[in-house]
Amino acid sequence: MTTTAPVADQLRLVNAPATLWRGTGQDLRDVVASRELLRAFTSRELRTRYKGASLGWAWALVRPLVMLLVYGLAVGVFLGAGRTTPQFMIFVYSGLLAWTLFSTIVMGSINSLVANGSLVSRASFPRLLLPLSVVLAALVDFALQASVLTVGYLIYTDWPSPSALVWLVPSLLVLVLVAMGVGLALAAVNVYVRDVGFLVDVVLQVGFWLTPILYSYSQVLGGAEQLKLSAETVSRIYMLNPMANVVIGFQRALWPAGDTPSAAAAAFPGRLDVRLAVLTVVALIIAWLGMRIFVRLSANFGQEL
Amino acid sequence: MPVAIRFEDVSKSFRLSQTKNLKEMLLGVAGHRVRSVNVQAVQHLSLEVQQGESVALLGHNGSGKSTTLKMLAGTVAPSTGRIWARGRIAPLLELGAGFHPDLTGRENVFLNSAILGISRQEVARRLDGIVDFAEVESFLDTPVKFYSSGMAVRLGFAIAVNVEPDILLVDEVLAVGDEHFQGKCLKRMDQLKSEGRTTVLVTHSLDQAASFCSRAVVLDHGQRTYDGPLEDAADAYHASSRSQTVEPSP
Repeated sequence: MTTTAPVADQLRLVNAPATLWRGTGQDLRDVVASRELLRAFTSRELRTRYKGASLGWAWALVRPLVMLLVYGLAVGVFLGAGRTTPQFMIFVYSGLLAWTLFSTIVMGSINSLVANGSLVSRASFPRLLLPLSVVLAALVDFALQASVLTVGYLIYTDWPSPSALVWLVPSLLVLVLVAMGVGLALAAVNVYVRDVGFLVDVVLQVGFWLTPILYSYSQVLGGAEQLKLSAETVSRIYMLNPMANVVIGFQRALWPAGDTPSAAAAAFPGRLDVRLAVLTVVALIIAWLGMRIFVRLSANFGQEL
Repeated sequence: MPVAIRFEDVSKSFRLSQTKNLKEMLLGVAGHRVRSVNVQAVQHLSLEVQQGESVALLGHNGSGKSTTLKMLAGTVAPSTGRIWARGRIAPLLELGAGFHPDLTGRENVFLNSAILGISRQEVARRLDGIVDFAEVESFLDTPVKFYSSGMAVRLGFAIAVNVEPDILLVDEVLAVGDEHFQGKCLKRMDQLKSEGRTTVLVTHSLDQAASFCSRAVVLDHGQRTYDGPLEDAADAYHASSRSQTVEPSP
């Protein structure tokens, strides 16, 4: 078998340098061109995560469900939030879903490069694929975790209306874009300064409690009153956290009891639609910036890992 | 024959003992100089390789030959200068570096090929050839962690040479594997050569280079000291100083 290899088209620049501003289109084209590899990385991510564990996929559900039970008991029963918030378990689970997805994407992206260090230092492929595969795998987990909600709806025989579910679209979009942008930028920095992973772990802990997952928005205002602060100022600062907006959007979509008069007092009164529209633009900028920082720093990943 | 690889005045320097944590970084900002050493791994290297050529990159430890190969593979960026290449580059991944231990041999073949830019259909078509070459038929659906190191190397090599790369990069991996498999590899590389594909072989064994390459480039402390027919490379190679500098391992 002596065939002559065809002469490949063109001399290409190996490892073409990227600048902060230029090359966005090329990077997106590279990702699209390598979509098979993206799929391969994603399926590896999903397949290997629970390999060797006899419960396998069920582990994706164990963590959020256990947290739900603990919070339901500690916050819902002991602290009494369950008496003021109807269908408290569904309320908490809606927020937990959003937060779990967010922290999985951020932490997973950060770890994706170091975890694949031997591959990154030896083979050349669009580095973006590693964190992107984490995002896709996290979305699969999210879909699985979200499906558990149907059990809750069956128990309460109360289903979210289709018009409520629409809130999921902008909320999810903002969540994924922000998590991706932050995750990409920090993943790149983490290659050079390994403290990032630990730092982010702490920041995520703080963020969890600064997001209305276990308490409702109205309780934030109540707290402001207690501290003798202007409710308006507190609300304005509190809502600067994109995840606070996202979680409230998740609750509007997935927590049917939020529509009832008894829960109306707990709900966010402002224009969530406007806020999410603005946040979508902000999130796009964050995602773009994160990607540029990542690509800008990626040329030497191979030597640092 | 057209040019397959072109180095234009490529240099690479590493800063050893780079600040690796926040503490050192803050100290650096605060004015406490963190001691760092600049190592010139490759200096002003210009090089052209024609398609179909087999080039041996020779040099002692720390000569910059591995760094040169890594820059060509695209995993390390040159500090200055540019590198051009034509077609699909297949670096021979060391010891199955791209393998995930929990995935089976078959799954790893698909993953590894995808990293080299091969579509699923193409891999499916070549799977038999790869498995045959690596001699791992009965272990194809066994997780790679149960493979012997020899099996993993064979599978890695089989993938790289069966995806029909335009440029094959080999970095001393041939030292592993038994004689029978080494012979098989050289035969396969000869075949790739006769198909007009380009090979760059990094080695510090003149014998191994002689069995396969016609041209040699000798590097010494990051500088090219010889470029020409392999037969005449021995002098330059032995003359290249053995004074040891640390090879920066990226």
